[in-house]
Amino acid sequence: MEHIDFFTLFQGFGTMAAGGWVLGLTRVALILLGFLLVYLGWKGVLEPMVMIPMGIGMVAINCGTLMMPGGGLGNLFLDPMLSDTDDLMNVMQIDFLQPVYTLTFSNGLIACFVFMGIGVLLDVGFLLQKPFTSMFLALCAELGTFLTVPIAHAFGLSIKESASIAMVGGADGPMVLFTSLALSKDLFVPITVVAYLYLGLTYGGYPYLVKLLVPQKLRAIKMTKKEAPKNYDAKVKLAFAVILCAILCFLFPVAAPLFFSLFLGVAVRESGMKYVYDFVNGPLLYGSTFMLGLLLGVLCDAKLLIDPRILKLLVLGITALLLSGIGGIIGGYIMYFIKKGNFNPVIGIAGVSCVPTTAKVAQKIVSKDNPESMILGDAIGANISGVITTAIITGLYITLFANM
Amino acid sequence: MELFIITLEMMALTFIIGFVVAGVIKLIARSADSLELYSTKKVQMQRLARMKRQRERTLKALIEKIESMDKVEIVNHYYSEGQGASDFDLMDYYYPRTARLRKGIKKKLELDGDETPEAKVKEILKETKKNKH
Repeated sequence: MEHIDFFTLFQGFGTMAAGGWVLGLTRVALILLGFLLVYLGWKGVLEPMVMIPMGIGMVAINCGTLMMPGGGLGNLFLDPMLSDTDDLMNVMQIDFLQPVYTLTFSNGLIACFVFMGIGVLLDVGFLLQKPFTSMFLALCAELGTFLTVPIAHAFGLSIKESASIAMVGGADGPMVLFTSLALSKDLFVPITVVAYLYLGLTYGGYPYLVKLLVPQKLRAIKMTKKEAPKNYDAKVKLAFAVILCAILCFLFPVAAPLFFSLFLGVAVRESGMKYVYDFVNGPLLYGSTFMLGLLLGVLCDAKLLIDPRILKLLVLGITALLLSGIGGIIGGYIMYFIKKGNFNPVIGIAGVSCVPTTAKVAQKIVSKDNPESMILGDAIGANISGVITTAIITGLYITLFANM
Repeated sequence: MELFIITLEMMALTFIIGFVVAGVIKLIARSADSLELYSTKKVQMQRLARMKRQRERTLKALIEKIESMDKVEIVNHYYSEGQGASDFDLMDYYYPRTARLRKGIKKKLELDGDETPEAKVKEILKETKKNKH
């Protein structure tokens, strides 16, 4: 007993000393970041369902590091770098989150579950009313997703890594996860963490961008409609889901799980399967989002995040989101000129597919300047198109870059 | 630079795919509108067809009823005991069937709100005559 010292007894502190000062400082920084995320989630500044489990996971993984029998540092949560099946089977019996990670996260299942939940939330009627306008805005709002690829490559990242970080411009968490899992497995943890951190900021950051780029006079535009908005029947929306699923799966089989999940969600919503709808809309969506946040937090192990590329990823992630926002507003301006002033350019920001955050942001900004202006329907149409265009780009990137 | 050009090409490709998808969505919306219009008009068309059939049946019944009337009825009117002021004129006396037929059909058409009953009466009588031959 006399041989047990403080650092051996309390291994959290022991490993802090054993790992070196860089690792130690990174762990302390991540623990503090975890506290901050929990606080911001609790305050409602960031999405609580993702940020609170992510923050607690970050704190727990960086505090709970221990000395492994081999002498290295490790934890009893999970090991994302395992690829050997024998090791994996052994670890699955020790690390309590390893089965959840291996069977739902690393194969993209959790991303598909979240996507299915998003599908259930989408009312495609808005998109059916104005498909070309919505799609045009969504395509413009992918500017960051495209331009970040050469920028990231110029920063020294490989093409696959560049494509993965550029997907942050699509502002769709599951899609970033799916792309980075397919293209850059060694960087998917930091990329996904960066993506989710920034996606949480869209709600707070985009209003400033819109106010900077669109003058108040244009923000207050009230659009006049020649005909009353049409309510499409559930069978039309169901047909929409099935036909688009078929076409997009046919075009990009690599992203077929995403298309399938999204349109299955839409089909569940429109087919009147009440109990399935309640399940997908409730336990599946919220449970998956919560577990996604938790796993992302647990993956924020200092060992995995000490990478000189992290700083680049942070810069590139924000660049991608910023460019996409600017692209969306440019799209809004183009529509404003095409429709001879009868279009509110703020709707363009909703082309960034952070469903339904950006649509809500657009309506909130417009309502502030003109309470009589209702743009939510058009904004949701652009938002849904954004999900589709981001999924198309995911398919395109994985198809084109997987073998490069 | 090469990657930038590739990126622009991908962007163009995505725009094309996006607009094709938008076209498909528009097609679905248009088809839904057409089907809805057809189903709405279908009800109206069925109603019109029903009205037309009913009208034909009524006209046929009227013609049959008038045809079955005996000329004697009118003759009796002129040669029997006085029955007060008469609605009949000499046309009814000399051409009783045609006159009654004409009056009956005209009255029916007027009730139906037809704006040119005279022309229609002529047409129907012509048709009846043709059918008889």
